[in-house]
Amino acid sequence: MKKLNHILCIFLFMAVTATAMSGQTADTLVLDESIVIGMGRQKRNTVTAAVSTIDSRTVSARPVSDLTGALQGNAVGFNIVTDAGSDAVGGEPGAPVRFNIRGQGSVNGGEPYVLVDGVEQSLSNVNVADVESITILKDASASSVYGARAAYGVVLVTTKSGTEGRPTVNYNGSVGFSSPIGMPEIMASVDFAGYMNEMRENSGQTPLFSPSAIKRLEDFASDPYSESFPGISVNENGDNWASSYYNQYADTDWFDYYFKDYAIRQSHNLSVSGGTSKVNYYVGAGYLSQDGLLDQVEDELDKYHVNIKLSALVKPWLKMNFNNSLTVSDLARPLANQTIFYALISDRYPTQTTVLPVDGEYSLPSWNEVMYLKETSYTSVSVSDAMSLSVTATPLEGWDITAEMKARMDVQDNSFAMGFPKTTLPDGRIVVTSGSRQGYQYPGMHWKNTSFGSYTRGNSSGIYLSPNVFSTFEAKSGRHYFKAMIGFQTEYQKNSSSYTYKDGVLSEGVFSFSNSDGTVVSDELRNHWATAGFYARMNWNWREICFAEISGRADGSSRFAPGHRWGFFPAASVGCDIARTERFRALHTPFSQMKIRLSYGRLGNQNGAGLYQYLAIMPLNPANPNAWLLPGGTSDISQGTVATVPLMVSPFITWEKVDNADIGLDLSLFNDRLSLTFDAYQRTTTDMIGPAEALPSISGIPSGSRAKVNNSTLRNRGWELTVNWSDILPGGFSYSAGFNLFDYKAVVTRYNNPEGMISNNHTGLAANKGYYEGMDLGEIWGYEADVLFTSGEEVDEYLEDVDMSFFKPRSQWMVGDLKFKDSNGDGRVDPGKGTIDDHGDLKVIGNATPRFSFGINLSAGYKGLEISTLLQGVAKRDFPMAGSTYLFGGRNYFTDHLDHFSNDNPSGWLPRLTDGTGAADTDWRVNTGYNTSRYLLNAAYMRMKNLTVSYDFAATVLKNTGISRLRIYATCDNVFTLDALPDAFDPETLNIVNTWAGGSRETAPGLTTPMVQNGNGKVYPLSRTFVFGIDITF
Amino acid sequence: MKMNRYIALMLLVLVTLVSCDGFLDRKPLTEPSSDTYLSSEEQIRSYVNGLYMSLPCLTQYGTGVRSQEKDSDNILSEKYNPRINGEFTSFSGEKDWSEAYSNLRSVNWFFEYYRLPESDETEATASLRGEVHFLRAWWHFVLLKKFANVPVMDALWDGNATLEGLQIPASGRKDVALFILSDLEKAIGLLQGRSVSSGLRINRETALVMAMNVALYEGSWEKYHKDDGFAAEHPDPQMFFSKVMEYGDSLFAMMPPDMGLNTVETDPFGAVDGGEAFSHLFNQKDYSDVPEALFWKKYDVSQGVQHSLTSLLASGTVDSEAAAGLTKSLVDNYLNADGSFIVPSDPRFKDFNETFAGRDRRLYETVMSTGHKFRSTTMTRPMRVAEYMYPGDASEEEVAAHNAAIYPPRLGGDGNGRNITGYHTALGVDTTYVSSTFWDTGLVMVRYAEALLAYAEAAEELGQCTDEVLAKTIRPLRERAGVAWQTPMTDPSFTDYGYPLTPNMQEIRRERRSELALQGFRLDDILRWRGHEVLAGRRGRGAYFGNDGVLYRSFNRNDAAVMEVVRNIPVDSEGWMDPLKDKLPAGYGFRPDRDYLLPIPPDELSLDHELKQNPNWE
Repeated sequence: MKKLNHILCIFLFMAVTATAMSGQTADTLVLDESIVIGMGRQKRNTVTAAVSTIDSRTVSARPVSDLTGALQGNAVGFNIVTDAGSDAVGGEPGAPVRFNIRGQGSVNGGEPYVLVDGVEQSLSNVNVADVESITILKDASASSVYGARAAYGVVLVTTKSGTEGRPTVNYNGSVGFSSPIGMPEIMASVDFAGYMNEMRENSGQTPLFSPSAIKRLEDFASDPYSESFPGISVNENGDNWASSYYNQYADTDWFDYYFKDYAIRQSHNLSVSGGTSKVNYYVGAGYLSQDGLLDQVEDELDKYHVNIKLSALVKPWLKMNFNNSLTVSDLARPLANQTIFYALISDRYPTQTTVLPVDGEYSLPSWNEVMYLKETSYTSVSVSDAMSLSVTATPLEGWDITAEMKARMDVQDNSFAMGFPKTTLPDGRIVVTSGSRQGYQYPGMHWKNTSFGSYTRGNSSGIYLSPNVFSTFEAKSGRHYFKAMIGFQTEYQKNSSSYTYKDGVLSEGVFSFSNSDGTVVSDELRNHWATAGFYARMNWNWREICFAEISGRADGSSRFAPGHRWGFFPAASVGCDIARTERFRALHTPFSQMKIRLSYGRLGNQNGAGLYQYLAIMPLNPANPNAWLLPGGTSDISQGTVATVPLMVSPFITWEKVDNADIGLDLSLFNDRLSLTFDAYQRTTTDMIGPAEALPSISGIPSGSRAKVNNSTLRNRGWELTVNWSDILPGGFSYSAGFNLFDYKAVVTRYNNPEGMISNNHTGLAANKGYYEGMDLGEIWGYEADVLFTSGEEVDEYLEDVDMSFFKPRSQWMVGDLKFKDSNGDGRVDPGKGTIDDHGDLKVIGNATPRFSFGINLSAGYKGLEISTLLQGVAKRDFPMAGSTYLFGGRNYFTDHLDHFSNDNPSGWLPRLTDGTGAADTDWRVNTGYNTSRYLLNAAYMRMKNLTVSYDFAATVLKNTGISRLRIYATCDNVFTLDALPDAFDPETLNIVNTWAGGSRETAPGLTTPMVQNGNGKVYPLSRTFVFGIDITF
Repeated sequence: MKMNRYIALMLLVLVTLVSCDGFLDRKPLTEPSSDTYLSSEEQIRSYVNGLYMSLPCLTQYGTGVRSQEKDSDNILSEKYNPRINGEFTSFSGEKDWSEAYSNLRSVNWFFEYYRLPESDETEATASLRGEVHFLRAWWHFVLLKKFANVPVMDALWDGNATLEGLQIPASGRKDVALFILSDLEKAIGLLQGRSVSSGLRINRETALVMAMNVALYEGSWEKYHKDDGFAAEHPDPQMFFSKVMEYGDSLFAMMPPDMGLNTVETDPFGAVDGGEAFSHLFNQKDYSDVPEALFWKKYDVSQGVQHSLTSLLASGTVDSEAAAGLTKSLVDNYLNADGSFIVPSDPRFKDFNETFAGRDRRLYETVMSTGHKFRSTTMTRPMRVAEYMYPGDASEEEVAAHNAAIYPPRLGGDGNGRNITGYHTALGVDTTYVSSTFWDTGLVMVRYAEALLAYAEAAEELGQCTDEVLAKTIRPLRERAGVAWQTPMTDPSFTDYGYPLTPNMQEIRRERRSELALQGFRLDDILRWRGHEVLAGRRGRGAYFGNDGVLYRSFNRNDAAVMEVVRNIPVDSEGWMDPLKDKLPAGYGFRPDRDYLLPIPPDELSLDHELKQNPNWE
């Protein structure tokens, strides 16, 4: 066996070598290119830290409205976090995309630090067309100089700048469309009627749809919305439409109704750049227009970018750089946050009509959400301007002093208008809706305080200032190279926002405060924070063969009390490129690089602490919707401002320490045509702040309100592999293949939970509120239950031996119920005491953390024609669907749900149908409310993220046209997906929690308690985007 | 020259360094410090007002307290209460336990951080402090009722909020009760009277009634549970019963009984009779001028303080969680108007309409019957149960008009408005309500009538229930409801509590059930009376639905869809509606050896080793 292995290896080596020999030399010297690193540039081959780079070609043609999306699959260790974003909405235009680097770092979160041309900025404010390169710093040694906020990685985006020479003008434009993907398929209404009747029969209720009602549904299907079958009739009092769904008989696919088949998008980018030996400039302007997928209502995002970069050699010893990046985005949709709408769509009944049989001015029925959405309008214009001015003095050759001022202003101007929705009654009268409606409010306001016929305006502004002064010194002495840097940086951010609401709109169609005569509500929010840090770094190398770097930073944060404020965080790395040694060269191997890297360092994380947690603060709320109307003092009977009990003060919290160790290997072979990078790392966050230790509830302090201390440890171990091959064959045929794969696992290694309490959702125990030592993040506790009871005898026999009264009384078990296994053989199925020592039949049945994420890049080109693709996926992931209405019926009526157990379909996947609409339905809860092995989904997937075909016109063709470069392309995102999930789910939005449908961010991914339906998956669909583009340079 | 520049730069760096720590001081911009917050009347009031939010009341959705009694023999629901069916597991007490302690912490935070100097204390601020004592008693009472022996949280425990610091043993239930009473006595000493806040704030009268309820609860528990696993250590029911009477006497001294009840003479809403005066305690918006409403919550749709109970009742919903209905057993509790008790087996009760004829007016105001409105008649006709007429019975117009006016209970259809017993809820129905999801009918939280009932019961337990006591307690309640007073006699068909009752006690318990129906008292009463016989192994019935009854005949037998529904309504062998017969063939599985108390959460037992689990929850 070993021998065979050997032979295979040699064969492979020979094959590869032969291929390499036949090829030509790659024309760029990859290893010598300089890449952007922390506060400077460095030649790639001298870098000793864990760094990934992505060049502009990878992202520039991608039809994305947020740069983040274009990085997925292209950088190893880069994860899009689809999990449980706060009120995340999936593919909605302008929806924020969150990500992490190398997985979750602290249980308190902690996001990568993003710098665009040196200024902290959101990736969504970057114009994809202006990107020159992206560097991702992954280990402590790489990000050390950024300190305070860089514990979990840094993303450095560098935009294009002008170069000396002839000015160039570039236009890059595209137009295309997006279509929703992964839309659930709604039951036909006849199926729905049978489904409901079966559900009710199983729940001991009378059927809802009589044979005559079903006949009407069938007749409608043959002659829809006709005079004889309008889909709806008048109710028995004759004063309104039959509003209950079982008195209507239409056949509506609500997803089809609410969403478009396709939406137009276009983008145009123009840039001018050039320069002389002293001055160079780059000015880029971009416009992106993306129509949303929502039909019937306004849903649109427009984005404008202007990016200006100037650099000048003012004096021979003084250089100046000025960047200004302006982003304006203009968003219009019916509601600020539409999660409630997405929660509602999926439980609409297919029997309900979308039109009424009258010709009224307003004839949308009240169960049609568009009736309300049409009368509401949310607009948000946000302006973000990031700028930096940097001046570098060079008093002596090799000595630079740089002073930078970075600033960003974020301003938002929003409005929310609510008109008066109307319906037409059967006799032609028009009913005007008044009052309030859940979900309809300005962000920050409560819907109960918002009524139809109102107008809200709000503004927010954020000011970020970050001066940075540093000095570098570079020297060469013989074969030694030195570079040293020392610097000081502070950050200051101040946020403020406010809104004013007024109701009682007087004349319709005009929304203003003067045109209203009602109640005024207004509120504001202001806060600020600051950090400061001193840093230093020293690099050394010997003939570009051996490298060493040592760096450190002392950081202070306003989040901690004086005395606990400062932390010191050192890092070091070494590396050696064996391939460059003379002895190695003499061997004439195909290796051009064989570099081993080692780094170790510590960084600080402050995200576990709130802005003012070390201070005693009185929580005050002037508009608490739950406040009582109370008299007192001189005021009238009113709700007034209420104060609520403060959180415990956390005076002792300080920095979480993030220790990074990384060992890496960089290989380059065959004239750099093959490259391989491998990293293995351990990232240990010690002194992690809370969450609070397990305390008895008699403390009266909810776990989120307890005093926090730095008391726990999380260890994250992982590895990353990137392999790239690119080559040009003699005939002009070029091709490349890239592959990246990474994996990590995070384990809680220290946590104050001496009793070993398990808190996990959908187990019958308390929902996610704590950790224990040895816990894998994302682990899913649940019961073994693989099959359903298929016969009454089976039920009786099983219950003779096994006591399942923890779930429901013995008399209530039936055919089609889940057969829970008595895993520990004690004769009963229960969660024991819910501790590590006694967890009854509960066991870890899976893990929701994505494992083995990968990306595959393939391309082939011939004479200007190129085809390339990106595949991205996750090889292993489990996902518990317990409690989800979306999967288990209850209130969703998809064709998926027809595959349930019944006497006619004993092999159905879902359990017997029961009514899941109430909080106390035992049957529904027992079968679908607990994590079980049967209903644990395999969430692994592979998706073709992108497919691009492009053609570059040859220079000979373009001669005499004034065009120096012309490229046309067609590209498509989200081409296809391979997965094993039920049709209604997309692997990338699977775990988005819909708070309106009962989900909660805190309890994800286990979602909510078994008692409550939860709303994962109730999202705006992702889209397949197809565009044609042209890229032309003069 | 160059050198100077560098020196200047260095100096700049140095200055920055020195000012650094100050630069990092970033105090909150909009919130004051909590340490000194409670130091003026306004500040104190804002905090105390916040404490009201945790009191149980009607919230956004749901039928709230009006359907709570499905945990008793007053309401049947297709989603019956799992506790009374013995379905609770050892984890079922989690939420009640942690909520109560969390509320107690908020209350104790007030005492810890109260910074108003004694010299500045006014009657108003003292009263606010009294409210907090009241609330501390309230939350301990919740714990006492559900868990019995519990740690008494008499101070803020933040200072020792560690695992070690929280190894706190439970106090015996009697001590818990005495602690509650001592807090209430403090409250009584500090609180202002009802008139100061028109009953919108916690007041002295309210605290007195609460004290009576607590003492009565503990007294009767200690008496009736003295021989089972739930007994208190060193029970002393007599002492608690005497306290009920003491508190009662001080309340009566403040508020003479003939002034306390809302009667036709005092009703500010123009009631035409006592029955209507009673119903006005549940369906009005403003109780400022109703002294019987000692403590009530005001709602106002225009300010977003609203609930959906009114709209749910208007749609016939008894329980917002499932199809439900009031029980026959509740209906049978009401006396005839002449003061005699009914014979439930009397064939006249097979006639839906006859059931309501000549009875206690509270029956009509509590249970929906012919002629009672669901809401404003511009939207929905009043209920009307009458035999359906068919062509040939009379002229075509008469038949049509007659049938059009029929509006029987909603026995068919879907959703939670469907009724499973034939008895919809009438209590709280606001006949001025038209439509809109939310409405603002006020909610009376504590009522003077409770004091009368508690007083009479304690007196009877002490053997002191003289005619004089009855005359000032039970009798006025009965007379308001249009029931003639008769000297109590044993009713052979009265609810069986598993032990004999004196005629006085029987009438006191009857009165309690009639007067307080659908107001959330019934389960507590059953528990403290050790009345599991009422629940265990039984299940309620509804109205008569035999095909000889008018209710059955009010449906159109020629309408196939209607008859399909009617045929499927479950009835027992004698034709009475028996909606839960399939679900609960053996009746409720209430376990008398266990279900009187909730289980202390298992994680609580693991973390606080001083605690002991309640009986028979392993």
